[in-house]
Amino acid sequence: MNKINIVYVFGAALFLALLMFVQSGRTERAINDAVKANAETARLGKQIRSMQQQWDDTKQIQRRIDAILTQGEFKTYVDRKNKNGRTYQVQFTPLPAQTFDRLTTKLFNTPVTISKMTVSRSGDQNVSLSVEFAL
Amino acid sequence: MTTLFLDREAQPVSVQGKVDLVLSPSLYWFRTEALPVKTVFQAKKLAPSVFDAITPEGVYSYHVLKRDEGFWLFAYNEEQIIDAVTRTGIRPSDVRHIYFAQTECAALETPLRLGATRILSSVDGVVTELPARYAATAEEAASFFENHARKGPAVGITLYHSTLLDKKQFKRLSIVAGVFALLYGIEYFTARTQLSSLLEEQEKIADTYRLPQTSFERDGLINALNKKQKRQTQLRATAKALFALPADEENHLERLSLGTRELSIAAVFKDPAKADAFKKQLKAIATVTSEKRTGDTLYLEATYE
Repeated sequence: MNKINIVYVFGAALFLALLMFVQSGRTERAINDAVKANAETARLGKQIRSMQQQWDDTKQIQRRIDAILTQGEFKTYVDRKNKNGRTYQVQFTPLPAQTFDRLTTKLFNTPVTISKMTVSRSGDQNVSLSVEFAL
Repeated sequence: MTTLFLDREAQPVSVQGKVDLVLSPSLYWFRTEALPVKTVFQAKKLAPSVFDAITPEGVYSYHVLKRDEGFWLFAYNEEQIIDAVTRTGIRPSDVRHIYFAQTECAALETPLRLGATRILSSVDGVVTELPARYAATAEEAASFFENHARKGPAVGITLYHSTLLDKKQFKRLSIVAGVFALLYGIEYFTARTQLSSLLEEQEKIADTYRLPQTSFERDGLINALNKKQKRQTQLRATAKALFALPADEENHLERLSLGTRELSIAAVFKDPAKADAFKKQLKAIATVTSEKRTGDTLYLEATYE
């Protein structure tokens, strides 16, 4: 057998080692990127799901609105409810100022999409309220 | 191929090209032993103890051959052999193979003449150097080696350190490289498997949350939701700010219509200073786009972000 110069052998080994090192580095980076991408996708997914449930879930929003409207304190003041496509209009009979405050606080603290709100003075102590929700 | 006989008192010689060397018995110790082992490998482990009592102090290498009657055991000092080769003037790189005289001349019938005073003879199968007077006739060693092929096997003595790999070294290196390649292959395969499972997991996560496929679509979706949330927050903040404005019997809001971006107000102000103060406060939260006054009633339209 012809003898092989060790310089060539080490050169080839070095080249292969370098190639392996580069390839391993690439794969490791790809794995790290994939791990980060998975974490980011999960974070984004949770954020989107939570926001969709709050602001984009028609059934949930209507359920929340109805839950407020059927509360004993406010129930008697609901004059008219009208659902038309993706809008839900609610007209209240004149509300005492304190009830008005509690109702608006309740509405503002609940994730329901208010598209329009009309408030008008009705007598000295009462307030008329009309709210249009987007579903 | 030239074959030279090499002994302890080697003299300079002139040869061209590669040479084979036959080592004189003066350069090695030889024993025939029936050892209680089966393989050459096992016998080689016992060789140092076999020669322990007969060799002078020094560093020895051992060579073992299996024969019908037992094992042929050789002990040799590489330094001594290298010195002898150096004395001949032969370049170590020109030495092709080295053989023991024992393997080449064991069946010798006629002794070989080594110079004027010594002969090489096989006594009961053991090759030994003797004074020339012990043989009446002898054949020239050079012509014997020229006419008889080497029986071998050759002895593995490293006369010089070369930058060239021989078959054995290459084989060892190949095994090491093979092991590394295998380990790397396993690691690479594991990493690729891990990567593909991570990518699959990413798709599963996207499916679980029903996310759009592209990041462009995802960004669009999250922006739309953020915008919706921001508008709702703004509407609530604006309404709270307007409800909190000071009011009394003569100065108060009559009507407020609030959309997600615009608002219109009808307010009664009997005190013009309070009307100005109201407008100033309104301008802090919205941009007034139209203003009209009819009697005590002030009509304002504004937009807000």
